[in-house]
Amino acid sequence: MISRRRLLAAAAAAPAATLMRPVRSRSRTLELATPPGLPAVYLHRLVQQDPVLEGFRLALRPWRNPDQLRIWIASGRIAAAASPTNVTANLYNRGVDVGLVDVTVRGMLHVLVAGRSTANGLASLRGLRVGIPFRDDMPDVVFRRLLEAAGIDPVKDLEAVYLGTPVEAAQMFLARRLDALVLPEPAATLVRERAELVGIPLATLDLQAVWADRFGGEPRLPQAGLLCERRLAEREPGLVQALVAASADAVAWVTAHPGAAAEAASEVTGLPASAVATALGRARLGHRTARAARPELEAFFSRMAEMDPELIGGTLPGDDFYLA
Amino acid sequence: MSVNGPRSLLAYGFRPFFLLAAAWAMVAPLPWVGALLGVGPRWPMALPPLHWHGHELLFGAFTAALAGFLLTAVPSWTGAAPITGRRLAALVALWLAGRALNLAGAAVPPAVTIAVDSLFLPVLLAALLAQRMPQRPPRDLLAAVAVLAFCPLAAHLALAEVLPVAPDAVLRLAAGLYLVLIAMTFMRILPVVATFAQARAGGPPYRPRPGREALAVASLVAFTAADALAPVHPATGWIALGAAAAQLERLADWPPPRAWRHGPIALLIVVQLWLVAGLVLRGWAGLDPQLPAYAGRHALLIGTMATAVLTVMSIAGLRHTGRPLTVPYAVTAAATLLTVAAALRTAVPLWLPGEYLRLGAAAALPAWSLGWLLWLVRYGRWLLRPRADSLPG
Repeated sequence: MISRRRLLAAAAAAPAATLMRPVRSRSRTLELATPPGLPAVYLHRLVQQDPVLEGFRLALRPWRNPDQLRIWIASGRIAAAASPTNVTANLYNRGVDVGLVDVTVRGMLHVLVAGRSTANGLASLRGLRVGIPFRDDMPDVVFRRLLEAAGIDPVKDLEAVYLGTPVEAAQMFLARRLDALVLPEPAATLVRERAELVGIPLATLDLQAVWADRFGGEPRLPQAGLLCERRLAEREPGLVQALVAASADAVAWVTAHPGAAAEAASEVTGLPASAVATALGRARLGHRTARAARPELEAFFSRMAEMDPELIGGTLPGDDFYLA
Repeated sequence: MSVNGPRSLLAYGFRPFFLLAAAWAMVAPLPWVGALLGVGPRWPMALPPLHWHGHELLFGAFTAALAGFLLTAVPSWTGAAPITGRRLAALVALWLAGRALNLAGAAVPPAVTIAVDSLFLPVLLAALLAQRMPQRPPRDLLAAVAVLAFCPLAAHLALAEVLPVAPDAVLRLAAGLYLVLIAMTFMRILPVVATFAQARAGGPPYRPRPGREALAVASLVAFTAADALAPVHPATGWIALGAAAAQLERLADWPPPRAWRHGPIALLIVVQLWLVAGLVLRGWAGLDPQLPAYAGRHALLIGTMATAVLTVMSIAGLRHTGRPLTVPYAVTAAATLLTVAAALRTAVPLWLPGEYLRLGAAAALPAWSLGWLLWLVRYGRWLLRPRADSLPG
């Protein structure tokens, strides 16, 4: 028979035990949200090479569209994520407690033009039906900014068709209901491979090169990197530094071993490893800390803001945006 | 004494070739659709994948069905001795070699693949013509087959850039010739099938109108030439619409709906309706640049040709295995599945292009393959066994 003293002790221990469990698990796991494309490849490598950083067990959590990421971050469900840099800036300027750790994706946007062997700049897109996945996402923003700079009206001079997902866009392109398609890697490589199968000759326009031609500088754009909750960064400065070092190592390894990296990450990307490996060769991956990349980020954000300041949340981010 | 297996299989031309046609049709799209969806193994083939899937449908599956039909119908119509036994086995081996080389031929010298794959139809035609024919041979059919016989070689040479024509143009020519052959074959089959249906339905006897029939065939010949030369030209569009009207007019002579449930007439009507739909879409594509150039192609290749092949194999399979002209349920189900596949391959890219791979390719494939599998399961036993009425053949 249970004594009164034991019953009281058990009653006191039970709530204490339930309090201890979530604290322990929450403080020891850091989920890194990632889109299923190229960032997933280097983040997968990062988690494989450093499963525990500064006492945090790392795990990947794929996101499928930027709106899902925004909700996760705004609601505090995610403290770190690979994200388009303008999305991070926009969240920061809207008062969400996030900052930028680093920049890793520095160019992965292409326009695929059907039925041509060469594409002579954006002017060659006049009169075409151009598919764009996700309105106001990075590919759309970069493409529209370049059209504006080239004096091409996206409504009058061509027919921009916005689509729900890159998969839908790819399928419409393969069905020859679009003349051109704005896509990031590795989706662009996947479409390129399928287009060859269905007999569509293709020309590719490198938007990074078009941007450099128009605005000067190297054909690189600071498109994506790791965002982090600022509270976490302030509380765990060692974690941010460790993430920067691990991220730099992972990007360097993935760039040097595209085949192995694509194969290893296929469980996260859900894409054929051969296509991802090819895409890694076509994209520009390279690691810079957020502070080191600040000049090019501000130049990039300024060009976006010239078109619509709301794309970056109204103004350039302040010093505390740059976490490392 | 009845003998199952190889001896029955080689007792008449339709037996091995109908089996091979259905089996190859069932599996041939797998490498192509797999590559398109990015699933399954890939290996270097003798032909580019896009060309391969059209080539194998036309010169693999449909040609096997044509061979089975000619090796059975020509002796039946002309009184010639059928090609059986070892000579038939040699033809089967030649057809199989062509398929194997095209599938795995990247490791084989191209000249060997081209020679073997291109030989089948000329050898088949020569074998048929070498037989003594006591009665008048079907010259129109054999003339169309004679032109078709050069198409595999032309397709290979065009791909190798030896012939200064687009490889697609050769495939379009071959596809058009198959439409012409189907129209000619229906001229011969329809009187039997329509008379049977009308008799069962208590209607007046079927009376063919040769003028309408000839116009339907001639309009398809014109469409074939135009489609091979200029597939998206407005003139081709008008010719396609004219051909569609001729096919629709031909339907006016066919038995009315109350007779459709008797025998295989409904299958012939489905084929004819797909032919009209395909030609209308080809015509539309020629006149409206907004429509992709391939519009209607699968309506003709899958809806018309595949259903026609299934229909002809089903009818000939019943008649020449000594069975009554009653369509098995499996054939009705198979034709329905082919129609679903044809509808998906035709309509999804045009009106639901955002589902091109998922519905247009991935969902169409099981319907297509299951259709042929049903036919194989139903007819396989009959083709491997002696005739039900114990007659030879």
